[in-house]
Amino acid sequence: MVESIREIGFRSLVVVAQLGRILRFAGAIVRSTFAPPYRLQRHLEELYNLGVLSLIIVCISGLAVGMVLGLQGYNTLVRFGAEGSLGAVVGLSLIRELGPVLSALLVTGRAGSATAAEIASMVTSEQLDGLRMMSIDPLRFVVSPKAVAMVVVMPMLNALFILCGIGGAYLIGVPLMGLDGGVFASSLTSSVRFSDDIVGSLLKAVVFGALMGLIATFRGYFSAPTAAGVSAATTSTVVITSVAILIGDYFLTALWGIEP
Amino acid sequence: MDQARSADPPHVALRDIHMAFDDRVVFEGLSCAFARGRISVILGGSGSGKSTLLRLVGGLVQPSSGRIEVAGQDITRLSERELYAVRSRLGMLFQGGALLDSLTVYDNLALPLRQNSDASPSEVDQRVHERLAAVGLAGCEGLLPGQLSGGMLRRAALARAMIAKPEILLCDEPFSGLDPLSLKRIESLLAGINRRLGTTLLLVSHHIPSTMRLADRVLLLLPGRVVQGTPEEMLASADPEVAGFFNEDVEETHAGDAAGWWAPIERGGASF
Repeated sequence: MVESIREIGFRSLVVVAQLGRILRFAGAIVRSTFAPPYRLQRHLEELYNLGVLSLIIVCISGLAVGMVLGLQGYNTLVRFGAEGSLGAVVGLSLIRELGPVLSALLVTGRAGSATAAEIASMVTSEQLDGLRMMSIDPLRFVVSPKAVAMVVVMPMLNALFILCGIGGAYLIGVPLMGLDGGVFASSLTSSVRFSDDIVGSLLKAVVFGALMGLIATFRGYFSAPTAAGVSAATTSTVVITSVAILIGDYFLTALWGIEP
Repeated sequence: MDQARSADPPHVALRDIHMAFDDRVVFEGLSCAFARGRISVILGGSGSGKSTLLRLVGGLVQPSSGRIEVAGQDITRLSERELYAVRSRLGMLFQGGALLDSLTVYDNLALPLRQNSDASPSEVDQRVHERLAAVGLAGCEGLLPGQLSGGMLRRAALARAMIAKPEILLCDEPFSGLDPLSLKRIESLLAGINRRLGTTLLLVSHHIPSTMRLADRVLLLLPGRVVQGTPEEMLASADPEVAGFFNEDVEETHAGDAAGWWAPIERGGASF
């Protein structure tokens, strides 16, 4: 019994210490990001690596999700004679929840894992120490551009995912199921509110991007300098970020999304 | 023979260093000094702390207690930002090269100049080409590190370590995994750097023949103590642990023919 309590206490202390390290790491990233001189080129490179290279996967996934929503939504709504609301159902589902969450999970799988693996392999091959020995701060040169890029690209990828999703639902609902295009569009535009739905969606994407950037860079930066360390950093980044995104989504929805 | 004795203050000195990784004690009261403008070779068995000693001098790891002086400055209490100023006097050749995978050889060499100096693009270009030519890699500017052989990678890393003209060059296993020709070339380059530029060299190596050819001083890390002396003194040592360390290697590498392999190499060969 005493052993169990001791074990719980020990594990709790480890978690608290780890959270403290993450917060200190986040503070160091913020400081190195805003301290001059600014290296715009490094940030642009990472925006390309993390954002542009994720475009195809986000577009295809968004289109597929929208088509599924269109099919399922139409078949459900038609039972109640409410198929004219398909645009609203699809739009709100994508904008409020599916867009930010699914695009964040997709980018975690592609760019988050790649970021953690890249930084961890730089630890293993002593590239970060090499930078330190050249008086170049690895936080500033490697970590900060990647973390900032994730915060910047996530709202854009989220918006793209939603647009592709709505396009997919339109393709199913209008040409395939015979719904009137004007009805689909007016249902969508009349139900979506900018301040609640769109701003909330973009805010979620920013928060998810920050979580992803912080966790991926943290796990990579503090990985063990071995092949197993690279593997562990990559796996844990995907698992922890995915769970953090889903839990964070609940709290953001509770804080932002409840109607008065 | 146990300590370097010189009228000049040492370029690098470690005083009463204690250090451990978790439960594993690496150093317990290590003290040693390295003279300015000399080539010092650090030898020792696996896990004796040779690479850790270099990393201590570079400020990449911190001791539990003790004092590390680089050019007379205690670096043990410096912040990371303050260490960057000290590291401008240091260059480090890592065992695996530590070149950035995503950058070409040219950009790897240009990086410290672009980040830390006000050198114009033409000055950067000139310096990079000079250094690459000095290590025999002219024409390899556009290659990525992954496209280089082991010997070329080591030479490119050496060129990068020397790009900012450091006073002190730290070399971690510069000869490991090289074919005989590449090994001779790195030896010659290191000797040239020391002779022509007056750079203080601290080398960690398992390759006793090469390092003994280069060394002005040898520091041997033994369990619980340090033995320091010239290559000749070390070979002639009556200390059973020292004799055992060197004789074993002599037998393994040269079948007992010790007379030739530690003869000093031609120091003027390198064009660095």
